[in-house]
Amino acid sequence: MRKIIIPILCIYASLHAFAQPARKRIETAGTATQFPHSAYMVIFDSTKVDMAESGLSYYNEHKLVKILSTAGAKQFATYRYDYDPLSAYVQLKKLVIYYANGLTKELNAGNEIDYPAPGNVILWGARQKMIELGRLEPGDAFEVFVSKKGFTYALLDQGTDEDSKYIPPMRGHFYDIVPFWSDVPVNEKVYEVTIPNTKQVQYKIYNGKVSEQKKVGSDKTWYSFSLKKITPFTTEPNMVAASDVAPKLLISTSPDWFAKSKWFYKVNEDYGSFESTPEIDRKVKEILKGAKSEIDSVGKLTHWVADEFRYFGLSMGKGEGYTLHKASMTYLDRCGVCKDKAGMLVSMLRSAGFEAYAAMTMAGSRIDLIPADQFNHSVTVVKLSDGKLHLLDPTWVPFVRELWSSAEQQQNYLPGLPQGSDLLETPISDPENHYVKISASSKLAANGTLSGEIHITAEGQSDAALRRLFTGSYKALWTKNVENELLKIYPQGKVVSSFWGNDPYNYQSGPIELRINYEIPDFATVTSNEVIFRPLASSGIFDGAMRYLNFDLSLAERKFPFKDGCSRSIEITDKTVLPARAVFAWKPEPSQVSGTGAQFASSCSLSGNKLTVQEKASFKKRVYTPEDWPSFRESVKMQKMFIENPFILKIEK
Amino acid sequence: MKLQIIYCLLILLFLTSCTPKIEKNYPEADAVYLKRVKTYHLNTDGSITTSEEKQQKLLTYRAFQSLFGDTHIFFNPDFQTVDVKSAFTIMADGKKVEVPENGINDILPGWCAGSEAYNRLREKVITHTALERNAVINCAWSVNTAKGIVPCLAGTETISSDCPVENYAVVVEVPEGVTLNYQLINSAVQPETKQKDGFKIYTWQFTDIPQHLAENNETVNLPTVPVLLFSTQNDEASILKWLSTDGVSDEAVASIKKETQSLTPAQKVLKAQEIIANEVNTLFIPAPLTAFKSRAPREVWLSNSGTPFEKCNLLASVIRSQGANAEVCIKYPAYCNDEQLPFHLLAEPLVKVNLGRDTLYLSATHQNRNASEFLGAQTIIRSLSSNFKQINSLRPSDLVKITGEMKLSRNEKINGKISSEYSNSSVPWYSLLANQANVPDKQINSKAKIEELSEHKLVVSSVIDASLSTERGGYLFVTIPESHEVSASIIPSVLSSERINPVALPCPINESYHFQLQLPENSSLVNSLSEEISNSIGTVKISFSQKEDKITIDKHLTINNQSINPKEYTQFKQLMDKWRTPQFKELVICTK
Repeated sequence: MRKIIIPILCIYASLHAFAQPARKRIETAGTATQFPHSAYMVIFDSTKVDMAESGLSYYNEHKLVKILSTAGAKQFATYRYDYDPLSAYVQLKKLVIYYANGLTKELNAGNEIDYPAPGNVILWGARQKMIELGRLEPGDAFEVFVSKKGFTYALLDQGTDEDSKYIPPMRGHFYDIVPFWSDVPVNEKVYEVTIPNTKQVQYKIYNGKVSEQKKVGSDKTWYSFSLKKITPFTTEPNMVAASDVAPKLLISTSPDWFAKSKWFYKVNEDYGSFESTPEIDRKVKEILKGAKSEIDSVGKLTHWVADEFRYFGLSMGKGEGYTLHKASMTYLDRCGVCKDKAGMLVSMLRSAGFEAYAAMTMAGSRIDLIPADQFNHSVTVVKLSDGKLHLLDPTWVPFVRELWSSAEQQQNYLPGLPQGSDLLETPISDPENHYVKISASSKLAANGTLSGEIHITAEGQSDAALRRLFTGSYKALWTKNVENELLKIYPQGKVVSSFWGNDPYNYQSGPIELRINYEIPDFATVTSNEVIFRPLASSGIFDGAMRYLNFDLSLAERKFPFKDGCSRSIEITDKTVLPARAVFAWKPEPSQVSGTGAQFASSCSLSGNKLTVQEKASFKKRVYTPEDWPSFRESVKMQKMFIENPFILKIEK
Repeated sequence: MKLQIIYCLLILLFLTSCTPKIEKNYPEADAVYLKRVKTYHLNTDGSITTSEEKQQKLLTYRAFQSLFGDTHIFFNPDFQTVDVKSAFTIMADGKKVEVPENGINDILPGWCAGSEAYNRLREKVITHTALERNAVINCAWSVNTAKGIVPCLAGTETISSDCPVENYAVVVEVPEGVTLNYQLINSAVQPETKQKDGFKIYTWQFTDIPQHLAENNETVNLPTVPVLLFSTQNDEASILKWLSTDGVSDEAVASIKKETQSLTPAQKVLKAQEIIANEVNTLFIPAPLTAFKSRAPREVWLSNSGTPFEKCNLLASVIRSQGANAEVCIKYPAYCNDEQLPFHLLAEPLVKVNLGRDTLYLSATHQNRNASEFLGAQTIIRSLSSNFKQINSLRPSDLVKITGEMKLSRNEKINGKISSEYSNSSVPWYSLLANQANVPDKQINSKAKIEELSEHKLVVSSVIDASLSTERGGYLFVTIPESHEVSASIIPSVLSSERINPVALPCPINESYHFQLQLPENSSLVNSLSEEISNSIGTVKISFSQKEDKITIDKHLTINNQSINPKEYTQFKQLMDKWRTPQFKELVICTK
């Protein structure tokens, strides 16, 4: 009995001792008046990690959160924690609510519930733990203690002891990515990790300063990183991912990217992810029948995997997450996530005699040089007769006339090669590879009605954007979708006829081509003295292929890099035959722009009763530096000048 | 002779069966259901088994990549069990591929996320594998609901789909002696009935149902596709009682009381609505999955989350504690106006509050601006606790009338006075009761003063001092002020040339503008015009004219109908196209 009482008393004493400082911290932390735009604030955020020799890591998280508004109270009606039971064990050990009225309520592990997480297209058995906090009010706070062991993903069963499934995929290694930035105020954040002295640790603080401490013990070394008074991170519209530019810690025991590359190669080869089957071999032969060249063969296989395999993640059980499904499984399921589609393509390419490997990449943000796992996407590399590795992405190119999606240019990647590889970066794609050409030829009648034809053609990512009018929509709506592009700008317009080729799904036959014959009553103001109108081709029609037109141009200067969907070139020509000979009374006068980000040029000519307007723009990259902003911004402004301003023409008497 | 006839018939039958089935073409469809069968079976012990079977052929890439690749079955394990009877794909070459074991997963439905109370609900996702163009998905499953959980066997089946259906059957099986009440709207199909093993079986068989793609401004209250309603209940009162929940949360009452102490009775009610609608999480869980039962208000308040029914019960109980008369009501489509039909399956809850002169109809999930917009047309409002029942038929026109006298300066500024009149549901009556600063059309009425206010009429005057014009080469382009209420907010921004379903408007429209604009010296209107269209749907009149140094702008739109059927759509579009023509929203003035 005494044995039981002593621990209970100790727990009580420690809780009581801690409760007072927590109360004091809450009272002095800050209020909604100080942080009017934040729903809650984090008073204290501590993570302590203890790494074992095997790589198995034990995490203890301790957080104190203060509610600042009713929106914060609504958000924290429950406290939830996501985990994957195949690779991590999580326990919400305790949660203490400190009500502003002085009352305290303690919820322990017995109050937690555990259930399958909601899902969408990836059903890998993810689960959540939850404790209900119930109704909180501004001024209330809660303190949560979470213990966790394991990893985000597991690979293969590497042992028989109970904890073996929690050992990370790269056995014996540890890594972590710790943000020292936040969307809400954080008074103090501490991250501590203890790592065996046998490990070679490398770490770096990016994009800011964080206090560091290190103590070397007999077996392990203790590292501590902390930062006080973190204010909410201020973003800019269209900026790169906040993690690219905000303070963060990367820490890893992996020696370099070569080691990671070799590990990725080996783990999938050992599992047999790329083993073909007679059925797959037969399919490869069938697909490649009539292939004219090496690149033609690679293209046929890439697009077959891209188009015929649905993006949907089913769990293979143990090893799900980093292991690529066996080709036989993916082929039978005809579905998989990026890694499974990449693996399927590797398998088919190898069956066709190519040297091919899987690669890891990070869509949407940068990979920094410390070799921590900063990956969220998987692709394929193939070695062609030029001796070089070429990237293929079967996940991002369904109905895209590319083998590697240029929406992923300037992106880091790491191929899994037998000899290993350093971190690589995908090149910039020439804007001409993604052209949009819009030309309109119209006749303006004396009653203001415009009639004529507009012709749009596009390539690469621009082709894909326009093609989504069809491939991203019910077939029955295709005609309507094309018509609506005109009606969005001119509700009174009428599509006399439209043409979009034979089958938009047959994207490999050539760049998309759209033609619309139209009649637009009351298009222009025509009087005995003036003709006033905005030329149709310059009106922003088919802006789905020119997303930069929606950029917020109010910022004169940028602090952070920014990004668009893809590099792109634009060519707009509008020819209008007027009801009478005229001269310019006023016209948009854009200046020429040329810079590191973009360039723009335009010309307008009026010869008798024929008005010709031409615009040419080139947006040179996907990811831009702040220095690229002035020319990018000016080029968009110039194009918008034609959208927003009419030509005023004086009729010659 | 008889034998010969029989032989001939047998030969004919044989030949018919040998003739290869001619496959129909669906050039406009992404997929086609070859077969859909939905069966409702009321067991003799009172439990209910609902079964579904489907065969769906995929025709396009999009069909299997993003439209039809999964089957989702929602259930409550506390009283329901699911049995997946078969799930396989017949690939284009005829190969049969069963859904693998890992292709059937139970997850938490998204609308239960963040709720401890409803954490046990599940969504069974059947991921169909081996999909490709011309593959056929085959799937059959059943859900068994334990006895005594729901008040009766009931169902509403909308006979339509976003792809064509060749054969669609709805089967309802009830023990002999149990009366099935039913109604099928928008179809003349009659049920086949038969008796078997002590059950009466009703079968509605539909064939060649065209695909129905949703268009904007459709309304559930006036469906255009067949809807089958059926129920075994014959006691409306018991259903209403089933939906009711008593109780009060002292904690909610005390907390809201602190926020409402110095307010008027109406403001107290609306503040309670604001708190419960905005601060308590809403769980949009379909009522059958909670067996139409609500937790007590105290539990809802303390968990800070609730279903729409639960939040209504909480709101009504708080308002009652404020001394007002509040009752929970349900709202459902008027086509279900039969006490023996399954109105409870279509019901949305609301709170009716009597405040002496005013009756407020409040949502507990959002702050509704007024009653008529929230209650809608073609709906029935029924109290759960009293005999109150109201049918909302057509609504009167929403009216916006804006007049003004303004002066244009050469510096592109416009100043003057504007008077705006709003009526019916364009009056944000509840918002104004809560705070008179909540006037509509902030851009027009930036410095607004309320001149007249009632539930159905609002008159606002304001001083305008704004840059509404742009100078280009000696020409001033003036944007004509326009209300954000009525046509701009309730009519779709893009009207395609063709329409399959009727356009449903919440109310008829009467929107007009009359402005006088004094010009700078030596200026003239360039785009004087006079446009008028009048047809059976309504009228559009637009005129810009100049007399001496004043321009008169008159714009008037009336839409007389609340529902515009596809035959009338061209006339409706003609009016709206004219009204929305960009050239008619701007004045061009020459200042040279």
